[in-house]
Amino acid sequence: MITRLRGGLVYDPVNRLDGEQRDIYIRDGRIIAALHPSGDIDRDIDISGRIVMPGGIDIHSHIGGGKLNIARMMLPEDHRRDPVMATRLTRAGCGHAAPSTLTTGYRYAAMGYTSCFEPAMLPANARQAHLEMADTPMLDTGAYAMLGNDDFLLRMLSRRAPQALINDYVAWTLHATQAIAIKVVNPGGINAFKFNQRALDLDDKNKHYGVTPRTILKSLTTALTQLGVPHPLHVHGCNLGVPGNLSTTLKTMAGVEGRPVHLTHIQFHSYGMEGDRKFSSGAAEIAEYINAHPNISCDVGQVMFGQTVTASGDNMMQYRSHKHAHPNKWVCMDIECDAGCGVVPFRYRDSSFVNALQWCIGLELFLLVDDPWRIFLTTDHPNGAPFTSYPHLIRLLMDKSFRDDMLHTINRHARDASRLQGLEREYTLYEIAVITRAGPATSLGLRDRGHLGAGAAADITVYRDKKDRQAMFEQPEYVFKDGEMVVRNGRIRHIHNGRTHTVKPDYDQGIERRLKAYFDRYHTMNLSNFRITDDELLDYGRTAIETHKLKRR
Amino acid sequence: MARSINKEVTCPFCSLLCDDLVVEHKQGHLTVREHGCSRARSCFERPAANPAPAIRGIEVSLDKAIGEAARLLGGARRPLISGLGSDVAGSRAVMPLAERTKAVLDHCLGEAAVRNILVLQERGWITTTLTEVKNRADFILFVGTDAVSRYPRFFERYVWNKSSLFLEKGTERNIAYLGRRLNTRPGISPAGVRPLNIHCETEELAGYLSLLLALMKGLELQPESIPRRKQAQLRTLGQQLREANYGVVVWAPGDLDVAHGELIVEAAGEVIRELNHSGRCAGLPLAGDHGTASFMNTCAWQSGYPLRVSYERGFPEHNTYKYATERLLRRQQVDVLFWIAGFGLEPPVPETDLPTIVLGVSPPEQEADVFIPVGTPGLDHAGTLFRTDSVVALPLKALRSTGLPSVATVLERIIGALP
Repeated sequence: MITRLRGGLVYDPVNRLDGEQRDIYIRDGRIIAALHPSGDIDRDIDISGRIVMPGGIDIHSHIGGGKLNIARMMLPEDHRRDPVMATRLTRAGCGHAAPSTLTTGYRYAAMGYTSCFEPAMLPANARQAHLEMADTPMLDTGAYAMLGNDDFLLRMLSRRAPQALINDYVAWTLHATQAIAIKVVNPGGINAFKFNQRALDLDDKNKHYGVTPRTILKSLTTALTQLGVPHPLHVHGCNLGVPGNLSTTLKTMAGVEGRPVHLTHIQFHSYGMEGDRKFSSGAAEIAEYINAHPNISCDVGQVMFGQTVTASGDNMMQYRSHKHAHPNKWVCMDIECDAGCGVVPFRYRDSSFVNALQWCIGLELFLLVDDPWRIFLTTDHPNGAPFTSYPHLIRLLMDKSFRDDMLHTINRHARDASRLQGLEREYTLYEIAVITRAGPATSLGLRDRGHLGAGAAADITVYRDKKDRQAMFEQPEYVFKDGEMVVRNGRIRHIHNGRTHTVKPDYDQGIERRLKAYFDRYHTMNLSNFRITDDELLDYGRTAIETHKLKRR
Repeated sequence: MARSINKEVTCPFCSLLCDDLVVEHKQGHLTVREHGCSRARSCFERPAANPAPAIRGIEVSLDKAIGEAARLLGGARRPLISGLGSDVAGSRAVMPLAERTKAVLDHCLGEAAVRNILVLQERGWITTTLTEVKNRADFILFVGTDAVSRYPRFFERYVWNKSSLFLEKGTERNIAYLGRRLNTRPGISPAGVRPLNIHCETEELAGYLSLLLALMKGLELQPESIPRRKQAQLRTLGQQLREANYGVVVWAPGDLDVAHGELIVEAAGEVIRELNHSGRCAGLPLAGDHGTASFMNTCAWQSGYPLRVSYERGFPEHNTYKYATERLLRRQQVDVLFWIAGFGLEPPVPETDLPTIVLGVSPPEQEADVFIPVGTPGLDHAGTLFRTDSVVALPLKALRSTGLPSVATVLERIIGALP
């Protein structure tokens, strides 16, 4: 069966299409080259004048795993305000800051997104993360395994293990946890917190291992480069949220010595200490550095005003911020000699100087980083704001006068301290397609997603061209997932279960002998039970496991 | 004669999920050859009865029983699905069933689970997991529980182990107990060091923990608030907690079976919070048996709430008080009871005059309207269970083929047969 989408204006940055009128042909879930004659078409959909983009790809959204589930359990009041009824087709659930998995899937799809990546999967908790993602309908998913606070790696680093052994361990972890990338959260800091260290800057030593965050970053970026993993090390740096952390972030970027690196929710790491309140924007310095260093990419982690919940692996920093918990309850966990987590509900207020300036800093970063291929749209869902705020954020980026209107509603001192008013840039539709589709797909190495060329998976979103970009991006007219029309005018039409995206670099089996000895001595489960098999993932209901190609070394 | 040995078997019969068992299988009979506790042995080795499905005591085919269960559920206005002794697959399958039949969901250990949930939803907490305890805890305080009565291998696997990453020797830890009628012998170290035992009634635990907190904060106690000797003991306990590099406070909500037992959990949480101002300390709740941890997690990610959830109005609603099994049955606020007991260790089916459907390892004492036998996860079929710490989930193996369906299979068929 062949479907034709006729007459749409296509924004497909991978194929350098900037709003050109093109017909799109779909067969068996894939996009195919133009057909002649057109008589073979089974279904012809007229989308003349509509805006066509690949399905949205969220490169950093906490959609599954233990800390999100703690947030769900902890915040009944958050769900009570947003109950979701079952329909003939869709299941019941609840929304807002920590939505149910089912509602998460439906709402992403209704917003035109077709893939979503969980950025903080603890290896010890990987089974739960995958179970939750399997219960997140409509979306393809993938996850980044967290390393860098686990005692196995820190022991190796403190004993100056050869890089090849670290590479084996990293590759083994990607296999065992069915991950597509590696993330490091507060490198070594979560571990140091277990030894009662309360801060760990880039060159501070872990009390027990003597290892610094710099060493961890160096070994992990080297490992991923040498293994050829497409997505660079996904770094949640030291000192998240601390005024003045700008200098740490600059040192971190320089510390990788030119190797590729992705700095996530960089807004939370771009703070200066100027002004009466010792809190200022470091966006200009950060953006300037990124602009000059093509090895660096980032996502923003924009904050939006309102109630949310922050759920992070970074329990050192979450413990520090617990006094800001709103409502006043919070969870901190040390986990399995592997990592940790902290869950702190939070309300960002536009009347607060700090929160308002955080909002400005995120927007400044979006507008000051020149290359849209190296900055991606995220709110670090739910940490900066729930993902449902993306359409509003897109309007802020595309519409200077709307941005100014919003700017005039926030804390006056923050407004005066920010250079946002003077930034004239407005994102184009092409650039939005880059930061929400093409860029994330390219960065993750998803060769057949994030574009609309022949051979690509038919994940397609069709919007009505509206002047109000928020309204436009809130409700696409059509969403296709693997060729199936899953959404029409914001309503779910068809339930789709997605795939899991992974990478699986080769490794020397010798690492398993070391790991087995380590697990037998120190862990509380067997190594064989730690590993998640393909069969298990498929049993959970994933339709396929896609293993992506490695980069040529 | 066909005989097979299974190694690295995960035991599903308590929430520690020890996965080092060696189990022999011979003609449907299982024998624990290595590493099981007494409960594991008796549960693995219980004879594989293979009871037949029944409608009001009369044997019927599985199809008929499923049809009758669907008819009863489909006709109910507000069924109660409880017990919920099952694995993750069973928990995942029960959610759409509850949604379709506008049911209320509770677990047979819901009352204990709520003692933790209320604290999580009111104050939150600082907790840790088993591998951290094994490698890091140099001081362990047991509050109202001795661990071993419910979790026989706790000390063997996590406390007196031979090696740990951060303690000089596996034995280098101090133990203390607060509570009554606790089996404190396992707390004696291999070198013979005796634990600190502070006796108090379960009803007094919250008060004692508050006094401990006051002493740790340097406050003077009123002489009449507590006997002098106990005060000295609490002072010692406070010092030991402060001096520990990594203290762990263990409680088991199932052992805090007194009115407002959640206040004990909350008081323990306050002690832990106080210690973290300057040092490190974390809680370790021991709970989650009979699939509670699996159900709570699944229910939370699918509905947004941990348990005691009602789909009566077409969307999930949560109330830890209103949706308690005992209360709903007593006040006759439900019209069908659907009880799931896939481990064979769950408490008996609650007494009720309501039409009752039971999924279990063996038929209930009181004749049910529908009884459907199910296999036990980890023995009769493969599966996944969450451990007590709610972080680690472990795979379960199928050790024999009995032809018994899993809870998930039966539930999916009932959903398919709903009117």
